[in-house]
Amino acid sequence: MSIIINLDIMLEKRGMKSNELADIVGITTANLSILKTGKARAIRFSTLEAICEALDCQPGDILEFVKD
Amino acid sequence: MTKNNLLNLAIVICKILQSFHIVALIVLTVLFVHIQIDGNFYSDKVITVENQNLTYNASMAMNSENKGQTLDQMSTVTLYLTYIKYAGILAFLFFSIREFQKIIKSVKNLATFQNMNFKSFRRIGQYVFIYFLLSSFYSYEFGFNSYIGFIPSLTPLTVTLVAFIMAEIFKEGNLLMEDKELTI
Repeated sequence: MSIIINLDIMLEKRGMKSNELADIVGITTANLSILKTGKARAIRFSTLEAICEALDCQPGDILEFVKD
Repeated sequence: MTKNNLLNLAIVICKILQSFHIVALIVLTVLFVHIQIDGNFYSDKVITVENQNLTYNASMAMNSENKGQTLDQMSTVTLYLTYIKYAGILAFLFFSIREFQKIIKSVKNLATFQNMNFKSFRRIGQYVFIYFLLSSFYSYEFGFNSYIGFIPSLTPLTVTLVAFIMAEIFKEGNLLMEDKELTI
């Protein structure tokens, strides 16, 4: 997949755990895991907005485009 | 939706039809074996060939006026071909009904667009197409009389087409369901 999710890096930078982020954003840890492993087909703007707010970052810090 | 009466009725009908096909296959096999063991028993049983089907009329007696043939006149090759044809028809109808029953059960369990249903519809299409081929061809030989031909029936072909179209619709439905489930 050419879109990489750098959620793990951002969580490490902020010293936050996955389940804490899931609680703040309002999604299940299973869904957060799907997002982190790159299995997700799409991400809602509302989810992205909540993640950015929780991690105090920009969408570009989480999503990265890499050419195949 | 677990209390859906229509779906429950459809499942019951499928089970009855499946039982009917099993019984019919057993009867056909017993008849097939019995003809070979005691052919004389069928010397007065008159059958006629109408369209591509063998028809037995119990009230019709063998005399010089009727144009029917008796079962004991049937050649061994015809006997085996006829058995394979009708056993195949019953088996593939049984398989089609079984796949349809699986689909109904998954709809009842609210798993309508799972991948299994798309495969079931494709299998139904394949089974009904084999049924179409088996039921269209006929080849019978009674002594010096022989009947051979191909009379295609549009109904099983239409069912095949509908099954394949339904398979594509369910495949698309499965993709949409996965998209929905994997959108975070």
